[in-house]
Amino acid sequence: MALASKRLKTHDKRRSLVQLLTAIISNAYIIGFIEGKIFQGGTKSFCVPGLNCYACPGALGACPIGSLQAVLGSRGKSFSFYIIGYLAAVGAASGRFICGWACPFGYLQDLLYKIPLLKKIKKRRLPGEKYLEKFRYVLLVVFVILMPLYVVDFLGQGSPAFCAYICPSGTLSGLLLMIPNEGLRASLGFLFAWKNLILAFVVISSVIIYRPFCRYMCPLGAVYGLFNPVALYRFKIDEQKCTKCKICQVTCKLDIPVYITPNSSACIRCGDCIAACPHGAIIHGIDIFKTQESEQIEPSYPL
Amino acid sequence: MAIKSKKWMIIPIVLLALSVGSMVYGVIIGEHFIVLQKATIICMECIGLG
Repeated sequence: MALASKRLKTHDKRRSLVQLLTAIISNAYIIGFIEGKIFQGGTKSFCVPGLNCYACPGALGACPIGSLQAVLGSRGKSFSFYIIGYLAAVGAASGRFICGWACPFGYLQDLLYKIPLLKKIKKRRLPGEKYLEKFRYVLLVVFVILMPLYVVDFLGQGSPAFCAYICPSGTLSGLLLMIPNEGLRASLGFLFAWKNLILAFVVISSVIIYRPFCRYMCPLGAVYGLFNPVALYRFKIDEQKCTKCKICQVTCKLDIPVYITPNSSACIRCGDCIAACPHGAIIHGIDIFKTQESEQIEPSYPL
Repeated sequence: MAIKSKKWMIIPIVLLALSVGSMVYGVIIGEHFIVLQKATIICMECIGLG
């Protein structure tokens, strides 16, 4: 047990480092933070894999959810081959691995959850969790797809509704932009107050609940989650090693019964369960294909 | 088992190939310019002003 605990700590440190590096690389335009302006180079035609608003002063790439709304909201566009292809490629390769390891907004929630101020609700699911989990799909369909397509102005341009009314990542970017930019500060209104209310709710709840935005609101996680069962990077339970001790579920901050549903769409692939499993029963990555073949070549028998 | 293993490996590879193809087609028809255009001006909706 002590070994598993040590392994879990090492794993957590390694994941935090990867998350920090990803957040820094995605937002490396330092001048933007100082002068209150955004990067305007060509790399912004490429999307970053995580939720990272392109209005962030440091952002070097584009947010895939913002980009999808921008293309769908353009006059004459009803489908985006570029962005949907991009989302499907990331999803098919890794499922929600990005959520656990390379999303700056997910990292922010991880940091908030480490604040030891309030009693954590980590082992229990919230009342109505089953329905709350579906809410991110509602946001995806209504605010990211339908509203940019059908709620249009007189020029035929759709509004990026998720960015405009919901996304707390954009609000945070706005705050960072406004600190040094007096012109932007002069334009504050009701919408800004509403979005700050959502941001405050996400920040405060992140201290108590593990990753509330990722669990209930993130449309990017909703898309990637659909690929969890079929992605190249997948989990598989070695039935011969698994004792159903439930340590994986107890360790999981999202309370997923990994031994039953290793490829749940809610799983952010943080890998805590793998580090915690005392039997090494969770096979992951492309190793699951090797195991299946080795099972056929060298069958193992119970002693 | 080998057939099942191959099937499970083929699905993501086919998905990946289709996705990359879709991305490339999107670039050919210039969708990345729409993204660039949107991402290089301050998005007023995103920051809660528009």
